[in-house]
Amino acid sequence: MAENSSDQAATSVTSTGGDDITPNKDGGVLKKILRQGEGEDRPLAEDKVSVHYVGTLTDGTKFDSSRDRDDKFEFTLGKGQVIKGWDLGVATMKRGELAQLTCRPQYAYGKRGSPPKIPEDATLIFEVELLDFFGEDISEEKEGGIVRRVIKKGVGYDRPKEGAIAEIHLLGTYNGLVFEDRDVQYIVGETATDHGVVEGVDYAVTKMKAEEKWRVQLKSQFAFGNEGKKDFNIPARAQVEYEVELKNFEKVKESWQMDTREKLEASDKVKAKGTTFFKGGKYKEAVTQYKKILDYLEFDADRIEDEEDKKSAGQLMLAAHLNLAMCYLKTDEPYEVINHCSKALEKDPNNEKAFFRRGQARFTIRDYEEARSDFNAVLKIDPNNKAAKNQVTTILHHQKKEREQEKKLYGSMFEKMAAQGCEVDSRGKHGGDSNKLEGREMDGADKDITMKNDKDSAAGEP
Amino acid sequence: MADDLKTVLQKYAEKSCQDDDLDPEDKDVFLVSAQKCLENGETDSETLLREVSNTANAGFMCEVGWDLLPVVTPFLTAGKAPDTVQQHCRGVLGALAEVCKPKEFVLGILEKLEGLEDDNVFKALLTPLQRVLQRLTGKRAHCIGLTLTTLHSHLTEIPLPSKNKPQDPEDESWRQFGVDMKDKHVGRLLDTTEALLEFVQPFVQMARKDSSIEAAMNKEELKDLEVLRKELVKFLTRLFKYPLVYLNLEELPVKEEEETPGTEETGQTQEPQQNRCRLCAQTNMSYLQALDPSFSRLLGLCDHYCGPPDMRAKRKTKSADKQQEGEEKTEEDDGKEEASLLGLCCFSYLLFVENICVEKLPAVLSHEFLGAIHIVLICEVLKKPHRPVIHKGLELTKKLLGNLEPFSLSYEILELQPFAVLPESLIHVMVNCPTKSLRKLAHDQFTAYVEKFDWRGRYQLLRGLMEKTEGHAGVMGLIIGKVKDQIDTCLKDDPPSDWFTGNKLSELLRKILHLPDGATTDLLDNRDWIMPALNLLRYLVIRDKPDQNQTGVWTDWPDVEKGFLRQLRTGVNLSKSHFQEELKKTRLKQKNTNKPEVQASIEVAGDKMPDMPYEQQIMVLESSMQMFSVIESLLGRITEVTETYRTGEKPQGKIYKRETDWKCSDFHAAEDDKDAVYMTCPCCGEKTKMPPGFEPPKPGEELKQFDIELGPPDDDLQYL
Repeated sequence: MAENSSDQAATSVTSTGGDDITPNKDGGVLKKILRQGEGEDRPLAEDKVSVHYVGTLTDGTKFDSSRDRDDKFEFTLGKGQVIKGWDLGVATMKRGELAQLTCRPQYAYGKRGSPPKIPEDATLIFEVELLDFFGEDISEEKEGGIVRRVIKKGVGYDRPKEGAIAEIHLLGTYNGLVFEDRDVQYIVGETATDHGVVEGVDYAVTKMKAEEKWRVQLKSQFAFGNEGKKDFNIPARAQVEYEVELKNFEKVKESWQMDTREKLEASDKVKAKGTTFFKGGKYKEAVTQYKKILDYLEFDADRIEDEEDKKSAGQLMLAAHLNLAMCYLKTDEPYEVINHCSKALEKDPNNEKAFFRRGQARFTIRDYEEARSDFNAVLKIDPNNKAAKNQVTTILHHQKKEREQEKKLYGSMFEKMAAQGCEVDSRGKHGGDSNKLEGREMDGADKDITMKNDKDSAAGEP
Repeated sequence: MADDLKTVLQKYAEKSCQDDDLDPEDKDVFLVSAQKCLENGETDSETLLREVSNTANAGFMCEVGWDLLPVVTPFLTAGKAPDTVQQHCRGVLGALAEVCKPKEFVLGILEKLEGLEDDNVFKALLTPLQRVLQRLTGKRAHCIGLTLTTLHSHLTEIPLPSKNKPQDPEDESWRQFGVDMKDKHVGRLLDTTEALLEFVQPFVQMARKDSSIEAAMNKEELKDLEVLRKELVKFLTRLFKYPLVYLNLEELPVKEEEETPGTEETGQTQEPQQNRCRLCAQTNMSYLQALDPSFSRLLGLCDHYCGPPDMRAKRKTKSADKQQEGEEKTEEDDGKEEASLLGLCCFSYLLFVENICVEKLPAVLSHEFLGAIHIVLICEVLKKPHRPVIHKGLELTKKLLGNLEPFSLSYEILELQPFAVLPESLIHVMVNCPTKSLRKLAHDQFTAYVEKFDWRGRYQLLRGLMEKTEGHAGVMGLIIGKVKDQIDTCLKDDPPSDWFTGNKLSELLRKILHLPDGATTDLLDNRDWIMPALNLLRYLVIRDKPDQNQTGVWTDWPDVEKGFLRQLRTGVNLSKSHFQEELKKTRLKQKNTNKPEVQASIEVAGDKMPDMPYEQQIMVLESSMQMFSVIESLLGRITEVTETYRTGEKPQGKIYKRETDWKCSDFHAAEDDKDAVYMTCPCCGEKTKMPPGFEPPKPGEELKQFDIELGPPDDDLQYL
């Protein structure tokens, strides 16, 4: 049967004829205009379209007809709701046009057909009349508040969720005059007003895909409301139009859902986000961001085959470790600092910052000997590093003091032993005092260092 | 009594010309005497009927109808009054429906229907209700909608067919739901459903899509018509939701049932097999089709669910002042929609699986679209505990998936959450559903679903599932099996896809070749995971030679050896010696005592379980030992193969001798022993004699450790 129908298809295609409208010109969809339409407008992707149609097989069997049902058929164009031949064909039609579309199986129901009506491997012939089309109102109320037309189709399926960062381009027009033309980056559903993004646009963005471009007509309640906007010369209760392009947005994906390239891109974004948090003093949040880089790349970094990618992955990992170390310095978690610095040094054995930060961390846990060797390593790389020099002096100072203290302690211990438990109180007081003193000095040193390093890390790692 | 009645009516007839108002006293007298008429029996009740139907009394009846209703209805309760009286009661109601003020009378009946338990009364009220609704003029959609809601809530009071049998996996009796007339609820359910379908018929007729009628209507009428359609569709999908989705709607097989003497009494078997449930469903579908010729409304509803759900729920385009009021409203709407998921599912099942009215479906919709708009429905439906519901969901999945070509879905679609959730729902059925046939169906759909995706999609699906079901050994085993299938298919491509080789595969392997608690992992608990994992590894080392390293398994071999194989060997040795010891002890005890001695007591829900006899204990221990041996032999096989690659020649003797003293050849059958059990040895594929005490599998029973997950030994042939 399959053979039969394809044979017939071959013969009848010539008889039905028409222009090939497939993008790759494979003759899969032929269109013949039976009656011209009106005007110049054609439906755009995702427009609501209503048609009447009659479908026949190549042997003349009528398999479906909306006219027989007396019910016009409505669908959304270009979303794969209908067979491929239709999405292509109807998009070329004008209002009122009557056309014949001949769709080969690969543009219809393919090898399997669609039982019970469409046999296997069948070419379908449709007589389609485009009755009407209009942009979809995407607002909840469906009162024409936000009507959109898709100018350029996007990629993928994902859309920005609330709380995701989106980069958009806005072109606002009122009465045909442009009042706004700019790039905006903002957090969807959160910082729209801060960035002067009107409600209707903010809402529209949640329905767009990456790289998609829309024209949206907004009624005033979704734009500038009853006040209008003086800066833009927009009066009260004005209907405005925007061209919105969603250039990019943050996708929330698990590491394993991405390929290498995506992981690198995501890492870059996460790093930037972390740096913003860091600058704002939100260290905990910054840590979560930087840790994501490790999550993304830890496993892949050494296995990437592309040299360039491998290099940038290495750099990202290094930056992540260094920045994490910096964050942990801020949150007083010296062991984490040491851990991340050591990892950074595995990647880059001559990293000045890694040595410096590890030194700082070791200093805070009074691991003076180790700390000094770290700072010395810094000086070996950059002999002019003043902060490191200062650190070494401070350490020496502390070590000296510690030794003195020890001496005193042991000394007093011996005294104590000699005195057999007398003067317990005075000893305790003495010890407390010295601790306090030390603490103050450490604070001072810390401040000095962190100030220098704030400068370092605020710019982010290279 | 009848005289009193006549007197009042007479009085009114004289008066009515001048005065519209009815004397309350007269009304009371009338109602009391009407009551008595009905109590007195058929002659008096007939008089009542005659008087009520008398057109001369229409004015009076119009006034008094609302009050007469509660007087009459109690007599309709089954067994309350003689049949003829009930007949007269119905006549009275019918007459009242013709003369009373429609709105008032509708409300009166609805009031009676609320909380009504008696089917007899219910059915008796339907006809006058239908009549009076038809008499409504102007805006009637709202009134009809209200009525339909009340009527359906009566239906939901009737319980579903009961099921007494315990949950036996082979038990297929749920398929009889709604067909088995012996069940006391089925009759009630179907009678009522049929009555309701009959009730709604004139309204469907009224609202059917017909452009010639619509053309003659004004705007108001059109709007009302649209609302009416909406109400009717809502009601009809509610019938799907309850009870139809719970019943068997399949065409009954044509067969002569001889073993059903019980049904003969009810007269069921005399007619050709007719599934009344299915007839109801068919009627319902034809109504829907009349209202919505291309089913665009219903499919649109399905489509509505497929948008990213988080977006739908949170964002509303509401201006601030309307916000609060609006939110409440939509919430309510959402609740209703949610509830009708089952109804929509049943509709789609009838349309696509049972092919009822499918010829009306526009033949231009793409298979992908039809699949996509059902995915949320299916996910929801599979979570339900009712087998007929799950069955419909699975059959629908099967049908919709069957239309798609392999590799036709892109991984990108997984960004839409429901697509990632569907396999979880299928697994949910596989794990939790007590019925074997449904579990199997779910498994097949799972396999089919994975295959509709491109390589990356398959990877993401399987990997995502591992993430979500981590810890469940059985599910892990299942996924591992699928991973193996994917690798096998993938290696046939040239070049093989990146997603099941190299880095991506080794990411998977890190998840798969993993013992949750290292060497101390409970091997018995995790056998459903470990066995397929070993099997996969064996497949890989045999299929992929180190010098080719197509899959990249050799890149990570040191990690696999250290992190998995070595720990597993230790684990097996530990478990074996432990169980060996246990076995010895138990055997000794068995020898020494005749009576089973209490070692530990197990309580289930407060009841003490009987102690396991020693023979059984020994059997359990032995079969566990068996399992360890199989793990060992698989381990041995893997080591053997890798060793061969390393040294360049096949090692002398069986290499796993080093690890253990167990040899599979010990069990190989030299000659057939009638009493012994023979099974295929997993490591060499030879027929193997099972140790004494090994219980032979019953016909059809699956023995996991031997037959199912291990795959054919043919894999080895490529190597040997």
